Amino acid sequence: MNTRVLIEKNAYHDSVSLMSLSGKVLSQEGVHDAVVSMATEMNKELLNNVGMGTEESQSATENDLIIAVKADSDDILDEVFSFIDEQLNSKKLGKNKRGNEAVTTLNAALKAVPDANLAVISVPGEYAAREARLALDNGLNVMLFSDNVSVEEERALKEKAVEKNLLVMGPDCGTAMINGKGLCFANSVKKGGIGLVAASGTGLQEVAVQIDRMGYGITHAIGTGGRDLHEKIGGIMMLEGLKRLDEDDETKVITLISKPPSKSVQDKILAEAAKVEKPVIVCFLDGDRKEVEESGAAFASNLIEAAQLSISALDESADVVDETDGQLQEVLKGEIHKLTDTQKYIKGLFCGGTLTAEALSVLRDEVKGVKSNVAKKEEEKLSDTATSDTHILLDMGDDEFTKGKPHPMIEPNLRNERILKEAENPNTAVLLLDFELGYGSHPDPVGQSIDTLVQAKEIAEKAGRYLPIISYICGTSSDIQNLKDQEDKLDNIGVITLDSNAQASKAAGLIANKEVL
Amino acid sequence: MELQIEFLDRNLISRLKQARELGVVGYVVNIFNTVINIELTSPSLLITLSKKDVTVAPYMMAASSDVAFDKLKAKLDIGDTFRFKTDGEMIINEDKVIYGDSKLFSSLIETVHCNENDLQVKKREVDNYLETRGHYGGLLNAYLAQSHKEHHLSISLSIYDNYFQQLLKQLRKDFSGESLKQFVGLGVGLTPSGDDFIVGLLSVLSRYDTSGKWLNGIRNELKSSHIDKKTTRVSSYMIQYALDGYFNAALIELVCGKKVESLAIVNSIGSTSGTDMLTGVGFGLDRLITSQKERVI
Repeated sequence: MNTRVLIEKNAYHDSVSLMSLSGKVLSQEGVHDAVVSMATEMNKELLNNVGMGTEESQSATENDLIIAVKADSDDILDEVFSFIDEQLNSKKLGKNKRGNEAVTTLNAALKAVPDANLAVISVPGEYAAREARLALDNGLNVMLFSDNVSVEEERALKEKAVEKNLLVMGPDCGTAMINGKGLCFANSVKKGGIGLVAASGTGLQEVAVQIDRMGYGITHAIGTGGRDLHEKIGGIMMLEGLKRLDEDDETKVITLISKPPSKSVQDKILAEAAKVEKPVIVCFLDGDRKEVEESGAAFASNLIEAAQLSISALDESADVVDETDGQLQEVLKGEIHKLTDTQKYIKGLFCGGTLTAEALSVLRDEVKGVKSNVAKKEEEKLSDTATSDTHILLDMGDDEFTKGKPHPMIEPNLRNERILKEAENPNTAVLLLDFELGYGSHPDPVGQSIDTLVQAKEIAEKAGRYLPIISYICGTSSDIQNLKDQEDKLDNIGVITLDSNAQASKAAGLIANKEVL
Repeated sequence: MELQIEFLDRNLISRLKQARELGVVGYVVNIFNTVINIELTSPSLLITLSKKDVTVAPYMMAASSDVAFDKLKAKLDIGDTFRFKTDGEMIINEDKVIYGDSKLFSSLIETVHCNENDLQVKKREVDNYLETRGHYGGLLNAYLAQSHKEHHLSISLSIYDNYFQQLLKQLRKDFSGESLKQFVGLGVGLTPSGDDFIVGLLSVLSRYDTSGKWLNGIRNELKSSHIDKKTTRVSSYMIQYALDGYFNAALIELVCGKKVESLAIVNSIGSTSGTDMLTGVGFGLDRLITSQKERVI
């Protein structure tokens, strides 16, 4: 085993970044230990005591950063330190690894790329609206990843966009796929005849992924931002997206996805959907089936059903029936059999907000007393997210968890901590987890949690319990993280992976109720 | 350009006046996303210029406009010099930081008496919170292991866990500045975990150690020579300020106030800093409770 040390003189990295870097380095294959800390006297002494101190670390001073790594070989160390260099210095480089020059203003960007027709904006909220306005004034469509933009500003931006025949996707829009190109967080999905408009990031991903898995594809997936269907915004971009897809010759079926919109906005959207000649599928989670069907659209009660109905509308001969097969029943029986009497509750810990909402939608009819931090109904709201004495479904990408910290799709430490806490709890009957693949997500989402999941099962076992873990991986076989590898990793440690978020949620409900179909 | 300061630590007023009278200048030593640190050598002081929403800390000046802060920050380099020409103004190159009419805040914790029962209640609140919401990577594992025998050492152990366990055991046996010296500079972060622990501990002693029995002893034994150069510049000042009784607003609100959300606000500081401070608070409360019991016996 070899050790290497890097010293960064007078380092200026915030603690959250350093902690994240430490976690990423430790998770690299062949790495046995990694220390990322300031070169204080005590830290240097500790490094020496664990056999990782070097001459360089000894000569570093207290305002320098030490990164010490112990790994199997020099080759692995070369890779690791190249990765570290990229992580620490990517912001400082004038050019990124594609040789593109970094610029500091929108005008400079326009000069550098005069043919650009889309600006992706991710700056603090107080600057975001101004940059979006500038982009629109210069004839660019906008994807606004930033949040903390006021409702009034959002409305003004979207009205301006409509006047100029442009799109504003956002604010708080993390996912879109336009003309086969993924923007921000996006999966690699086949091209096909279904167009999506979604006020929901993981909702868009799940429907697109399921369409791909069933052998079909999409034209475009337009994100509108989570607040588009709010009363004060009026669904401006969902209406615009609906119109664009209606005019697009390649799009044969249009699917609309959202958490429940306000009544007046829903009415407006359904009224427009009624005028569209192409088939329209509407998946407003917890929405009203009757009202949707009266407009002539098809109602999907959950995301997998939205994918199935979209495919059926595109291809009448498609076989999209989804059944829990006999083999799964046997597996679930095996899990239930090992539960103790104290184990009663589902602990759903999610990275995706809409997947959490869908799980809630599925589970409220399956188990009693389920609560969530994404719930709209009073009786389902979770006042304290540390609560663990009932069925809980937590969106761990919610602001409460991510203020000043990376999103769990990128950095899973917070969710991993919670997994272990729930494993210690004797009332936990089953853990329900999601993993997201695709551009923008961690290179190895499952790998980041594997040790934690193993430890979780061991904690339960030591306490005389068995801990079932149900998971869903939102990804396609073309995503860069390799879906099969990710599934195998979970399978190897006894985690059951199902084919959709809805199916995984239902399976968790069966386990918690200790019943099988 | 001019950067208006919305509020600043009242202790800064006299210090800056002193600096002006001595003709002392300040040097930019750190430029982070939301704070700029300026060091004066005489008097030895670290002033923090910050954006509006940063947790208020000792000797901090919070800007009234984040946009103006960013504009100033973009112009600055490490080593740039701040001068104190007139009352209420700092000058750097052609730009000014104006604080003459700013609102003042106090970062000092005042001491009050607290009975054993109330101390017990506070300790339970802190411990319950740490068990469910504390962040691992710093002292949490070691703190929970020494205070809760059934605690599983969750999350992969870091190389610091064993050290912190030993140090906490030693501190239990010998609660003194001597024992605390071993914590200085130990752990991850720009303010290493051991330093955050010390600050949390000192905050609760500053509030409730009415006789000064523990605090005076620690102050006598933990001197600047045991802190300077033993930890990062920022952390060194943080400990020194804490020894003098000055703390960040989140800790002040936690030890002096009754707001339920204070625990969450402290916990949200940095990556593990807030949790590490809370372990110090918990340990300090335990010490005070034991001390009260011994008096009764």
